[in-house]
Amino acid sequence: MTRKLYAFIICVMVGGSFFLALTWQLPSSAEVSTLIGPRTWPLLVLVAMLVLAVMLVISTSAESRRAKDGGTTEEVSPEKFDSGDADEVATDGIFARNRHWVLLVLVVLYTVSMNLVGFLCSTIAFSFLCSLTLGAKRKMTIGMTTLAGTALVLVVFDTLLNIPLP
Amino acid sequence: MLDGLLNGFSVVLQPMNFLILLSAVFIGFIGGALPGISGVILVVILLPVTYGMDSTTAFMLLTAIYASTVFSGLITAILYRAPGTPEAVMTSFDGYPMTQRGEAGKALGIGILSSAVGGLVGTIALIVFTPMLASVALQFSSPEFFALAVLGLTVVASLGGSLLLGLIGAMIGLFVASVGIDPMTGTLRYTFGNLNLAGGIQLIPIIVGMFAISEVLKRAQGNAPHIPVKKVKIRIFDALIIRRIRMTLARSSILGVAIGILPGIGASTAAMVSYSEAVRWSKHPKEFGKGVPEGVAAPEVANNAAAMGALVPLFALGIPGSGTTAVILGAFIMHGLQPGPSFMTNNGDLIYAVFVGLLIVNLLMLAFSKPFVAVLSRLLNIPYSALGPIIIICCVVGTYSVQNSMFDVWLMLGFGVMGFLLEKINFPLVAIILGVVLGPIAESEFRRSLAMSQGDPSIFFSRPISATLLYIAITVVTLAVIVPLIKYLRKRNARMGEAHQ
Repeated sequence: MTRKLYAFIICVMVGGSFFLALTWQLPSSAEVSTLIGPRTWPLLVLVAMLVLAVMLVISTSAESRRAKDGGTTEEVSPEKFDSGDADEVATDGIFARNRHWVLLVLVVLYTVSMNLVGFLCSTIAFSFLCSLTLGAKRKMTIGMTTLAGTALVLVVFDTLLNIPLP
Repeated sequence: MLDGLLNGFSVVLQPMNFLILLSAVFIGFIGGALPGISGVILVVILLPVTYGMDSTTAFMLLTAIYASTVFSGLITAILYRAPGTPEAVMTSFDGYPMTQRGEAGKALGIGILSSAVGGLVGTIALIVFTPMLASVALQFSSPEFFALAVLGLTVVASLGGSLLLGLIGAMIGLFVASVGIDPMTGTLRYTFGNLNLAGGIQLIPIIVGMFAISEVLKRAQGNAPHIPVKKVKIRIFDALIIRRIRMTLARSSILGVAIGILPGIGASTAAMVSYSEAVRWSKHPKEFGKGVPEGVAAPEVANNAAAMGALVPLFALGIPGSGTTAVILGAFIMHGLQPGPSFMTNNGDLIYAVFVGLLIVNLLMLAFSKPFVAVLSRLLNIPYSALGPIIIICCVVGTYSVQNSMFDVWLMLGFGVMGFLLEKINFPLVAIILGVVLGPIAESEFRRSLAMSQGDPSIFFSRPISATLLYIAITVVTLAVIVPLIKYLRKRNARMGEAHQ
């Protein structure tokens, strides 16, 4: 947890510093007709964010020193999802451990393919593959998911709500 | 007023008008429950349809949809942690943990009851206090709006968990809200030459990404424990629960109406401020966020009350109280009507028909919510391998439909990954949402206030209302720092005393 916190703090500081540098390129109050220029507010927010990040570093290192002195362990392993449903797979194996990233890649491919093959075809393919990725084994589950996804698109979004589709 | 209301009843209870009201409730329920489809989108979609209708019927339809989308946003917020509307974000904070504990029915019952109470109180306030409340709203100027935004941001101090993480989250949200064209000078900020960012980052991609997509990723990883619920038994009128949340209902409904009538603030802010107040007033503030009834009741009462309250400045002053009421104002103009001070005198029949329509809609939603939610909640039994793809498709379509932009979908995915990673350090995601919602108000009113005072910041403390609000905000944050420090020092002294002995 401490390592993850430090990683977060580094990201905040790097990001904050990067955008702070960009903020200086914005017109100042003297360069615009309004009393307060477009630079002022983001500058205040970014400086506050960096100050808070420094405070978080100090607080985190104090906490970890206290934890070490107290002899307590602080890393907590994430709870494992446990379901009696036959469609849910075990969480062992490289694929299972990285299922969420596989799912993310699928969603990215789905988004890209919408403009290439059309929304309906990409939705059908995505429903099928996503269902498999999330552990569906029964043909009924996979079939129903694909059908439901298609029906949702055609009936609810397109016909009923008349929402423009990608 | 009584004559107007009776006339309103006679108009609303005409068969055709009542049928349209029922359709509006049904459409609003579905739309509000689907993530990414908010009241604004539905009102915009149906606007052309109302063009050929009688004005009274048209505005009964639009306001009924507006009311029912705010109501139904809680359903997916509680069941799937995918808020159907921005106003329901805070509801998922305690509602979803209750679902995870197998108390989905209880959470839904509390949410439905609270929404109905908020909607009814807001509508009654709308009817009775429109002229009075409009004059109070006129006293609010830029310093007061800025102070209100700051007070809303202090909810991060009350969320539990790390105050510093919450404040950093609020700063991140405020910064994200500053991306795009500066409304005062037209300067492009942080767009990197991308025209898609010129209009800023919309709220829907952020909310849908951070809550819904991150939840799907968490479930895929297998780190989100979920107890399958075979049957969701919704109990709306539970005497024990009502006794427990009655003060929250009373306080939050008044707060919701008061915030809703302030132009430009909106129901989302009302929900957040109300949640913050519920935490402050609670004897067990640390339990918030883990699934407490007050955590569901407070935002739901407030957002429905505020949604009705937002119609007050619309009718009385011609100033929209929120995004959706801004679209409804456009509908008025399209029908050749001009809301404002003389609107009630010239179009009393229409206004009272809308008022009565809203009263009936809130009661209809209470009546129809149980069977509708019973159907939706059965989806809990469907394996996540079937539900996950449907949720993602809804999120993608919902996000795309905001601006017909694939860029928003990419933003949603980016924020989804961000939300997924941040939750690994127990980061309060809602702090970012707070910053994004309140950022535009905070910045514009801050700059306007300083322009009013020629750059003198004491304007925020020289005006009584803004000074009061700011002092409350400062006190809250100070207490959030000092109280844990005092507890820590006491514990340390006690340990040192024991070691000494």
